[in-house]
Amino acid sequence: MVNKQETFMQVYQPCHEPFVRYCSALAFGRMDTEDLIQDVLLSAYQHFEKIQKKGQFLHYLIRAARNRSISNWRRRKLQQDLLEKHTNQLMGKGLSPELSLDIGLMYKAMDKLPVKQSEAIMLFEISGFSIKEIAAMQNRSEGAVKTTISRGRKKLKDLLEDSATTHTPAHMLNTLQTILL
Amino acid sequence: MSKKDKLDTLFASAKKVPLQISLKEVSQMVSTFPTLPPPGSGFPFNNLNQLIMGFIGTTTLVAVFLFSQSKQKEPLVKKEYSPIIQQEANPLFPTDSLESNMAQDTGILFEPKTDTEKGEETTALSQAETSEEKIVEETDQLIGEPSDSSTEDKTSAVIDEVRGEWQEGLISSEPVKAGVEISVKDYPDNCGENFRFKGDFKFFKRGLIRLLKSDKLISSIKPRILFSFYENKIVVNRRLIPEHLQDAYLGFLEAHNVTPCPIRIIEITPQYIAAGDITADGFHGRINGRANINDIESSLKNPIIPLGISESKE
Repeated sequence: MVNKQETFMQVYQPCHEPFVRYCSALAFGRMDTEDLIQDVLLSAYQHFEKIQKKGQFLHYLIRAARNRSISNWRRRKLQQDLLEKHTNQLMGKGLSPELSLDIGLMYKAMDKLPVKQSEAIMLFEISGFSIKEIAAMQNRSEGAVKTTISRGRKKLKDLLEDSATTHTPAHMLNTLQTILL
Repeated sequence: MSKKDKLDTLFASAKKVPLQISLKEVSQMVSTFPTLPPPGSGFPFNNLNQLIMGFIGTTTLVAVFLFSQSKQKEPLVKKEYSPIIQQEANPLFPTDSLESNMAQDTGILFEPKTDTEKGEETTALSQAETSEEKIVEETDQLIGEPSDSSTEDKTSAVIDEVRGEWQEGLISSEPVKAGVEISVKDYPDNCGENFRFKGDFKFFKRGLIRLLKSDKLISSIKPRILFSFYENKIVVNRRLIPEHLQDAYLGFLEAHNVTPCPIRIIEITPQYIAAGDITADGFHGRINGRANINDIESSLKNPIIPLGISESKE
């Protein structure tokens, strides 16, 4: 039993950072990150003997996290209280409030992207995977992954611009004027 | 700062955020895993679809099971024994005419007999007997009651008439067909004059069918089974019973007072059972069930000759 734990931790160690970042991005505003990580790790531990390619353990973890988050998303939509909680957690980690709010808004905007685009952006931009690794994980060509990331970024940029314009004081005043007049 | 730069900055900041859970914490978490139950080992239905489909499947199975159980409980043959309606069974039944004559003479309308409705087993013979006795009883009652002297005279005349008939005795001592005299010549010599079935009809029918089935003389109880006699031998459905079985069947029938006689029949159908004699006047005997007496009489107008014998004669 102890041997199994040691082996598991040895295999898991290099996967830790990208996996936790990916889980944080996935769970932002939707569920507790620790719950997702624990759920995935428990499942991976139970089936550890069955995983033949231990070198691709990270891919296994990412896929497991994605599947669990998707099944969880079907049940629960974006929750405002969790969004605030995660934003506060970012502030607690030493980020400025403005940056924390911006990151929160970015995750919220990413939620509006198609699943493939948001996943590719999370893996590439936040978790730090290379295009090649993402292509291997998603069973797609590198070109397709590049295109997906590019389109995702563009759309995300547009979404952030829209949210920025809708939330400026000038825009709010304009809206108020329209309503009053 | 351009928007693209801002997005890059956001990504870079998100990438630099300290991890929510450290490797040490994960190690502690993993150390607790062996004590935890395997995932998904609790409730078997993890989503709503499984729950709904499981419920529908179970309900369907239970419904099918209950339906099949209820089907099995139904009897294969529905036995109905309803009393014979006298008018339908034999419109020329003489007791009615006697009553109507009495009613015409006395001016008293008789109530319809209720004993035929009460009893499951009804016989033409016993009906006739009871009807006669009832008439006498009712007439006696009427005599006891205060009435006009003219009516009393008429009633007493009728009683005398009935009693006279009774005392004189019809051939079979059974005033079944009052007003219709059954001549002695209708009865062959070897037939007893008084055929009266003895025992329980249901028991008799059950025993007879069991015997016939065990001897493979019939294949099914559903079709009509007709017992008759030819030269003191038993004929079933116009086929002579084999010689070695004759004694057994004769013994069984004699136990119920059914002796060999050319005009004597026993007819068993799912609807009724009839045992009696067919004379020129009609059927004299006992019927249990719903039967059309005209059919019984018409089917036995001609003497029954076993198939093998009739073919050889031809």
